Amino acid sequence: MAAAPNDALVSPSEARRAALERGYSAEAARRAAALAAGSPPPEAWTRLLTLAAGGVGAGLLASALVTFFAANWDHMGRVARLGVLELALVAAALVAARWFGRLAARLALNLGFVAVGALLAVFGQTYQTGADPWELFLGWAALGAPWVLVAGADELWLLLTLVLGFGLARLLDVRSHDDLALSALASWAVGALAIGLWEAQARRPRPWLRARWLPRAWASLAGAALCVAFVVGLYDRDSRAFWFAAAAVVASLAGAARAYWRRTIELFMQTVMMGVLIVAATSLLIRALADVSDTRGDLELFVITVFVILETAGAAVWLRGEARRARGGVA
Amino acid sequence: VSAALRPTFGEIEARLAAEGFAPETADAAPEPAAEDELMPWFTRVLVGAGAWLSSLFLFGCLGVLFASSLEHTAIGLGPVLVVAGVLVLRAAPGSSSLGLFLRQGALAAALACTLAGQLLFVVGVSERAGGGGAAPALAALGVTVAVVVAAPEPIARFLSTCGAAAAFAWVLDAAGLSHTFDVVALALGAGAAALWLARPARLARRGEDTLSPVAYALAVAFLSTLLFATGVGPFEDFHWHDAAAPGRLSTIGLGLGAVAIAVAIRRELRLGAPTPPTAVAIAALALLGPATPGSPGLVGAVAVVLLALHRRAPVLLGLALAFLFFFLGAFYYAMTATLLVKAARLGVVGAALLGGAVAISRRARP
Repeated sequence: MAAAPNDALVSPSEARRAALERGYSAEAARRAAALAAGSPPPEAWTRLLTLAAGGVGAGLLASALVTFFAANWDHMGRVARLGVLELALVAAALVAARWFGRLAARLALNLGFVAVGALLAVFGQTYQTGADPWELFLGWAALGAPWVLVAGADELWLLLTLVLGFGLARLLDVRSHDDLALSALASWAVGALAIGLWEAQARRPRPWLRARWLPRAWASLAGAALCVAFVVGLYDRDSRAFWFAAAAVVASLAGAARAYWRRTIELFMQTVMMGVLIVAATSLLIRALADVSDTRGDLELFVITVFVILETAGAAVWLRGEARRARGGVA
Repeated sequence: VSAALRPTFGEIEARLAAEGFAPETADAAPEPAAEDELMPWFTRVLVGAGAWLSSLFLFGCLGVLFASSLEHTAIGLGPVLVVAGVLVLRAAPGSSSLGLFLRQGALAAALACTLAGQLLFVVGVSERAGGGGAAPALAALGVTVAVVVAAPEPIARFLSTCGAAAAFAWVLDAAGLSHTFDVVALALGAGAAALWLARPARLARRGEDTLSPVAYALAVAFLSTLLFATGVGPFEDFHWHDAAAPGRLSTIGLGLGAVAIAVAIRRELRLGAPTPPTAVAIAALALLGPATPGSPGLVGAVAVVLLALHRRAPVLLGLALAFLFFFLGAFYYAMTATLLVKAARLGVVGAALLGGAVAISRRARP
């Protein structure tokens, strides 16, 4: 494998290895590792501090807006309640149009998306529409989608899917009489669909979204939801979701194998799927042992201990092999 | 952001050249990947979670097996499991005679034994001491610190350091110290800051950082301790025996700590004396604690964010930001003021931060 290219972003251990592969002495390689953990240059600090102060400041202003409403709720007329929020939406749109492509526009579009949700909530409370929260969240997702499309910002896509997932989960919760497994499955479905669409757009010559943290965040959330659905479906005798959850586990494994094992190697996604597999297999074993056992349980606990150790070891061996494969076989 | 959190090799090579280093050979052989490249943090989280889970099952198994004589058995069996586990953890990574699966299996089993052994030992001492007193706390602190020192395996070090942090709080509580959690928060914060600030020195000395899991664990334990002060959910009106949640002492101490970190950053960057606006911004860090009474988590998380950016540690940064957002929400929830005053405070701070962002970006323009 060739040494790291000059523009490759490196961690301390990668910097040390790259230095050795380029013929530097051991002392220079250690120094390279230390430099990789050194403070960013002042201009990078400027970028980071601007982003941090701007992001937290915009978030606090959004909170102030919501709190202001709560404080003055009883004293405000309908026109004032809705008018202030609509003004905030217009202001966000104007700022976004004026400084489009810059941080200010991105923050304004984030604020605008939140204001859409607040506007729907205020509308629902003012006119007492009798709507269930799932209608609010699905409406928010639908009306907020244009803001997300215009912004093309990763964090807004995450927020949109969270709103959509919560709305769908709540809808299923109401329709299925509090079946937690079905609600969790709805969240998984939104996450899985989002990952699929993200991967499809990433193969375009000019993808809209590039940051890999976004599908990873979806995978973590969808994986956790799938584990909840599987375990609850397995142990809750009133739940109808177990076979759906089992099918979802199989579908997720097949999809992940195709996208992140055959087509490309994405260690994070593989690790998430390994986690889901371990949770599913362990809970199946525990359920099977609980069904057949009538003893005090020490043998069963020992079997489960050994099983989890073997699963963990197997996952570690396989993931190490994948990490090696990702590096082109050198390890 | 990722470009700011990771340097390119070209940037590092330029620094090496400036310091007088040059390649000694034209074409060196490919180097084996470091352990943290083959087992990145998320894989370690999975393996650590598996080890922790299996240790609980093992503990349960032994608890059921020796239920009638737990007091005597646990005190004897616990240390045996810990010693056996540590020996395997030390020997297995370098063993070339074992196949990879056997080696990983031995490591996973050793982790489970080490963790279950620590738990058994503490339970045994506690049973013998009648459930109270300083003995079980000291036993917990002793056995966890011993594992941190003796076992170089990263997951064992991380989990045992977390255990040692909890045991430290237990010891202080058993000693009847007032402001237990203030002392714990400040000690953990100071320990985490010291380890993170000295990371480049350790890397320059050895090329790898074997104390990195301890540094991560101290940061996690530090932020988790500050959760007790949030008054949200399970932490509402938090008290552990007579010890109250971190309070005023922590907010003042952590504010000063954040200032010390900012000064250390400027010193490492050799920025010289600060301009008046910069000095005001740094001083504001010290006031962040007193300005947010009852929420030392806010200034603590800000300090960890600074540390993470300073040491280019993306995982620590993600962790600190998650805690920061939670602490912000908790602070709002716990604020004893009318909604109008809350809205005014949030608006003023938000506008000030946005103004700060604009000012920073304007000053940076050529």
